[in-house]
Amino acid sequence: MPGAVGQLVLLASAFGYSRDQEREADRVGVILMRNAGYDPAEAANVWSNLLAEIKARPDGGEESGIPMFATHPGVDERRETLAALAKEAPGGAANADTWRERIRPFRREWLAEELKRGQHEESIALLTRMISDSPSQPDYLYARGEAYRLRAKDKDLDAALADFQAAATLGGEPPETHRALAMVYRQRSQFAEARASFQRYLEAAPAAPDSLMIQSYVEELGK
Amino acid sequence: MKRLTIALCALTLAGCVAMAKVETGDRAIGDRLAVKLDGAWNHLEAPGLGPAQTWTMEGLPIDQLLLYSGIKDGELVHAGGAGGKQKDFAFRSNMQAHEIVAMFEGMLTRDGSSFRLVKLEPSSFGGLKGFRFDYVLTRKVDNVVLSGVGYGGVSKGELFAILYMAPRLGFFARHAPRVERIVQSARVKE
Repeated sequence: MPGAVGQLVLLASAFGYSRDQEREADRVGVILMRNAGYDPAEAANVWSNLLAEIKARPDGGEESGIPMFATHPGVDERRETLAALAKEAPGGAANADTWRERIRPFRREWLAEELKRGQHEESIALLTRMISDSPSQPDYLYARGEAYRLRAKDKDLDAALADFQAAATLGGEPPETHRALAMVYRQRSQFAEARASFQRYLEAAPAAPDSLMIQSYVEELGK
Repeated sequence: MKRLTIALCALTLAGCVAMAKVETGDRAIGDRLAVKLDGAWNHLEAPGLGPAQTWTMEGLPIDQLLLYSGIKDGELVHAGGAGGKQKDFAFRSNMQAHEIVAMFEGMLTRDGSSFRLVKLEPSSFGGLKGFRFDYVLTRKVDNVVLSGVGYGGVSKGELFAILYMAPRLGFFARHAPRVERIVQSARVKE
């Protein structure tokens, strides 16, 4: 997740390595990746993805708080260098499917943490990419819908509703999808739909910590 | 919490922190919240605290009782916002109970601490139709696991709430009944 990547970047930057040392580290890193059987082209992709998320911020990443971006202006150059190094050692595998399977037990918790960061623009950029990579994964649709709902700008509620409905249509969606759907419906004064969605949440997650509160919402909406 | 602790140490050294005894009896919290105490508390007063009143039995950072009275739409629920690198958390008068709890969760985890909601349920508070929530907070600065309880309600678009948290081993259980009695005594003036 980008938060963790950002922290790693921050830690790395704190040691104040010179740019030459960074280049050498990248060169060695690419060799190690390739020797371990991985596709080193992914190293450049990590930078591309991180930058895309940072630039999605309202300030365009100007005040990202990541000193590396201020003190190491050659991020684009670094990405290109990594891509060039990868071309010298082609091959290897990204092992994306294996990675997806391994992170599956943690995915929902990580997505919840991502949303808690409150950096909705970054989250939407991240999740849009994840949805593009895994269009049949409802967890990402739910999470992006939540990011839209929490940001609540202009047509965000429409976008949130579309994502929640798409997640529910796919099936296997997180129970919270229905709670979030209910919140959108209630905001739009669609009380019958809100009540039904809250009930569906309770059916899917009867032991949820907020089940008693949600039950009270159902009763209010039933009046 | 880490920032608060460091700030408090610095302010104490600078002589800017005052600890006032809150006597037993009826106490007004702001203009519209009143509570009745069956024992004394310590009220921490220092620049940069607020908008909640911060009380403690054992001293910070061991336990703290936060009392919010009349938080208005758009008002932050923590100090030190606006311009900082951390996300700010503000109350909105149209928030539902679990959105208010999410707001407090955000406030309590601004320093990277970890929050887990244990229970959220409807509950009267101060004569309002409100809510109660129980939570566990793992403090980032020292990995101490705190138990917490909060009550809240909204009246005339203003938020009233009481949150108490203390280390789950010993301290929380020692003071939770006292906090519960304060909550039961709370009255919000209409």
